[in-house]
Amino acid sequence: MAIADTPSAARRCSSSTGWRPGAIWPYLDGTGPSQGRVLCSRAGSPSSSGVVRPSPAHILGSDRCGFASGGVAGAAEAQNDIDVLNPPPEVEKLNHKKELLVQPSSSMDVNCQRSLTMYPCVTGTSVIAFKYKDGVIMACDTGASYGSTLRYKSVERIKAVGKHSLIGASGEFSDFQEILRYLDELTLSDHMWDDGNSLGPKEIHSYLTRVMYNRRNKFDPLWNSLVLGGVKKGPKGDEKYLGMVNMIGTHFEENYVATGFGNHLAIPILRAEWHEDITFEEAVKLVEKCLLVLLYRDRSSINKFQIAKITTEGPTIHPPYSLKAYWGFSHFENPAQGAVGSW
Amino acid sequence: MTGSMDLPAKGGFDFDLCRRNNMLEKNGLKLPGFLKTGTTIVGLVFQDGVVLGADTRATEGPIVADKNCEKIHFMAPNIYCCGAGTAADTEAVTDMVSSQLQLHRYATGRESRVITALTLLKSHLFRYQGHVSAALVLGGVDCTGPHLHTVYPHGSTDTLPFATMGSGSLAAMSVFESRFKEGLTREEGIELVSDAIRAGIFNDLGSGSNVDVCVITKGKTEYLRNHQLPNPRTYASSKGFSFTKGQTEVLSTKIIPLKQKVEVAEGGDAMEE
Repeated sequence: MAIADTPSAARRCSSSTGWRPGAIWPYLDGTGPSQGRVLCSRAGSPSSSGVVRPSPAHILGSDRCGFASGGVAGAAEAQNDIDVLNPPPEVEKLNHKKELLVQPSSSMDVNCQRSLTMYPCVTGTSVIAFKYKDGVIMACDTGASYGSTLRYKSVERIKAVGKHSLIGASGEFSDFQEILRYLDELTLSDHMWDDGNSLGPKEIHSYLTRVMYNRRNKFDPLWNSLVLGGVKKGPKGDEKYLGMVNMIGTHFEENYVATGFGNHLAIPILRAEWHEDITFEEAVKLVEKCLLVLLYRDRSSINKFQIAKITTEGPTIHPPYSLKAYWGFSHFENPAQGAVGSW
Repeated sequence: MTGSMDLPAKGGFDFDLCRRNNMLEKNGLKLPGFLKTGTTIVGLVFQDGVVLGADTRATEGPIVADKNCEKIHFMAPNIYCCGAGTAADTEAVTDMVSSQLQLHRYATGRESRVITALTLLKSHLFRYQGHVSAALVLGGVDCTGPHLHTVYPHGSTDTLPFATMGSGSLAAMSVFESRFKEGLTREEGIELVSDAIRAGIFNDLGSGSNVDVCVITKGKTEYLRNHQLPNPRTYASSKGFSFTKGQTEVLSTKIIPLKQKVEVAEGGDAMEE
């Protein structure tokens, strides 16, 4: 199903052959193009005739099974008029040279070669952000882990989006790169309207929410928790915006957000110490406090952080730097001093 | 090795009934739920001793079973222990070790040491391989100085300058990691502990209600029960309840006199001694 989760798909939806449910499933009464042939063309590989795969027809209760290589497809073509709602796969292929950016997949499509996201591979850890006097400040570390290995140590997990927003992501890094591509498309096509208006953080947050939620509904989520912050001139002056979306589509707007471990370790500090109109210097101190706690207590964080801020002047992503950690407690020196030999 | 040899009891957890329990569960027996103390417990070492803190909520699944329970248990006059995990386990294990410490004090004639309590606790918990679900923060001051330890359900321990346990441990740890330093005064220590517990109370669903604090120094222990009450009842009438006469309309009155009849048995059997 061509759900509009990318701008190009959205435009394609309104084309003449747009809605094509029959591409995968037959009609509910069992008629329609042969499943075998359709699945062949979608999967892109010839089906082995001996194998009876559980086709959607089984699930829908029709009594047609297996592959009719002669069968109905031949019959449809013989009819001479092309069924617009269920065009035979050869005609379909002629019309659509470009594949959709996001392959429509669903849990019913068990023969689709593309497997659904089961687990993340390369992951980034927490991102924290909060509003301050001039805009929004966002920070995270620059590490990406591959399971329990710290594979990449110079990864930028905060990026600017247009002139008004910053996006920070934790979770699967490749999905974050994909999201950045979608946002590129979005901002580019918005720019091409050339109407003097540009997408603000609220709009981008709304767009991301739709993308994430639609992907989740197809059981193929983008495995990220995204933080979206920005400032844009609104009817009431400069309006600061900060929101979060996670991989299942939960989204909200808040004065301070954190993803991953930041939820447990940074949010208590922010709840106690954040206040309206905090200055930039205080904000950096508060951010560093939270980042230090995350460094101590989150196993996948590294001591290399990036702070980014967005104001009416635009986004600024500062170069990475390290924080000084303190290990000089006297109790760490000889924990067994009270009882030599104990553990 | 012929014949049946009567081996001495090996000690340790007896897993004989586990198969039977599994069979019963498979046949549909619903085990009774247990009272957990989804909790925030903390401890820190300050310049004169140790401060322990705990919240006061005991949960049974999603329900608050006890909204003002005591999680700081007495071990010895100079040693106290906060407990997280299953309430019964923490109570029983701290009670048991407390009695053992008392007997040891009678035997040796000396003040108990914190590592004695620690070793008793960890050997017991290790024997039970984590089935005794007690996560403890043990603190006290003895002749060797102030000590603070954490004990995990499987029997491992840590010796730390500041420690947190329980479901709210991350929230409390974030407060400690950002504000702890060595050589705190008593007031600073109590304030930091209270702030950490409050972070747990307001940021963790398993913790709530009030803050208990216990300050242990050389020769003196102060148990500040309900040191802070940050969750007062929102709408409490200051006047209390008053039921004045005439507020309820009397529809009808019926008085039934009960006849008093007392029988005295003469010469009954004397009570058995």
